[in-house]
Amino acid sequence: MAQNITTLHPPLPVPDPVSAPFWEGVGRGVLLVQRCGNCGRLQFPFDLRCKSCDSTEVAPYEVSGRGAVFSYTETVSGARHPYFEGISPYLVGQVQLAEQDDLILMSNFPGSTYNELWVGAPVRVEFHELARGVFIPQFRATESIETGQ
Amino acid sequence: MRAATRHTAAFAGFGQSRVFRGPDEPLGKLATEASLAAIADAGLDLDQIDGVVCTPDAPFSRAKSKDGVAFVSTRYLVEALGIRPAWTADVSGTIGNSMLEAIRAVECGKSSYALLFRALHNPGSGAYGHTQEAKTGEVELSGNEGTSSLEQYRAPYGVYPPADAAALPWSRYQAKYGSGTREQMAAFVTQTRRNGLMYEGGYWAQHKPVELTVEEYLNARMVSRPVSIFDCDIPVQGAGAFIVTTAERAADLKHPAAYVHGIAGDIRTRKSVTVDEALEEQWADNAELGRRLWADSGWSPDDMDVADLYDGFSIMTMIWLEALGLCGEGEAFDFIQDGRIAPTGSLPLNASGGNLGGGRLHGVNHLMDGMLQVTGRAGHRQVEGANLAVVAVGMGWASGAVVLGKDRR
Repeated sequence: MAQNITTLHPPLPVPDPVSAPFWEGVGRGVLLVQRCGNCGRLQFPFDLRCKSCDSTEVAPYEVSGRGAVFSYTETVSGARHPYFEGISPYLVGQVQLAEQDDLILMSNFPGSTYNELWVGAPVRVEFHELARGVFIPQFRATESIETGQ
Repeated sequence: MRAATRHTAAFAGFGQSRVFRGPDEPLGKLATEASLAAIADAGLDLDQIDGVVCTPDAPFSRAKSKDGVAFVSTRYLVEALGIRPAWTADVSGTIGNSMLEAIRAVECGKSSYALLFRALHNPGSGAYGHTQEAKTGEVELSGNEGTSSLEQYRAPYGVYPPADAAALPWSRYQAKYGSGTREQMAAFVTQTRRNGLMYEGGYWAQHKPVELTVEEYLNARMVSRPVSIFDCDIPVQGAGAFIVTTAERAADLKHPAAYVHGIAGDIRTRKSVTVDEALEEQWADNAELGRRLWADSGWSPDDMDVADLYDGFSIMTMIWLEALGLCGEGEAFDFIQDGRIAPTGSLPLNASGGNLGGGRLHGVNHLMDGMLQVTGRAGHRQVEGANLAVVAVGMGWASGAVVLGKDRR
């Protein structure tokens, strides 16, 4: 049992053919969304087509990794997964990327507590290794209530 | 604005099984029990049922579970009842979606007497829902389900569905509107629990018939802040069933029928397809459904005498109130105060208890309440002068709504 605990990690993302470029980018420390070559809109998650104009001319596009807290919660129940049960309670929420309002990614806001965070707080991306070379983007608040805005 | 649709369908029978916390009775047996009760309520014979429709999925997937145990399909029920319907359909989503199919089937002549049912399983061991496999492996949460799966973007963060799908919109709501405290929400949750005690078929009425106090609500265990255990409906094992027929045929049946005045559903407005938890996207889907519902029915929000709005999580009802135009945007938490939503108030809301006051039958209680209120059959919880009811079940794409009327269209 103790052996299991040492190797416990969150569920790992499994790329599919469409999302593979996103995860490949994350693996080398680059945050990518998709940009439509026809209408210029950005979109996330990755898709086969542009959600705005249906064009198939969508290609990976590097973004700044800056954004703001869109919403957040402190989850007490632990997602019914042994890793998250072990670290409960923990923060989980959404980040709205600076480039476009509807680019929303998940985050656990490392370094923050529930009471320190607020909707609209500025955040910046960093990349966390979950297991042997598997990374996910996380977003860290760049200002705290203590330091003021 | 186009003219209202001339609907010809009506709800003419209702039945519900007993409701348990766990699998005390097999689900297939409870679905059969509810169906026979609905058929008897309408005064029909079994062999008159020529259409059967349900929503078998959720909380358990058809692909991984046993029919009649963890879910009930139309095939199972048809065999259990020993009938030979001309039309059956197993629809995705909630009873909001299958309800629309029943109405359409009757209106286009595919079925004369359609049986609509919904059965929900609860193993009762803490193994509820979609994450059972996550205990033993990573298959379920891996996101390896094709390009449509959002799990690869969510599961690594420990997103706790569906509670986080309620907590995240609620947190954003608080920041966006400066409203929506748990103190405000207490007015709704305690009222709906009180309402549920007046419905003999409800879980709390059957198993723990005491009111929930404001103090108990405010001190409740947190699930995902600000969602507490009492903002979540209690998982139960049980089933409900309805008979849908034409207004013409309904006139010859046992009880007065609730006539369909308008329908809307199957909404897919969202463009960004980020994650299901975005307040604005839930709101926009429900508002689009509302626009279609009022256009289809020819009625307006102000015409409604009672409302039955989905409450799998308490925040969902607040979003429905606003998005349907029953109150203003950002005003739901003020609207629910001062007895306005009590059975004696200006807009009785979930007068039979909904999910929160009756248990997780995924909208069966809402449709039942709307139907019985406008036909004067709601017993102790009857709302005076209930001529029109709006029933909205589900959220986002997995939703459907109906306006039911006392008078024939």
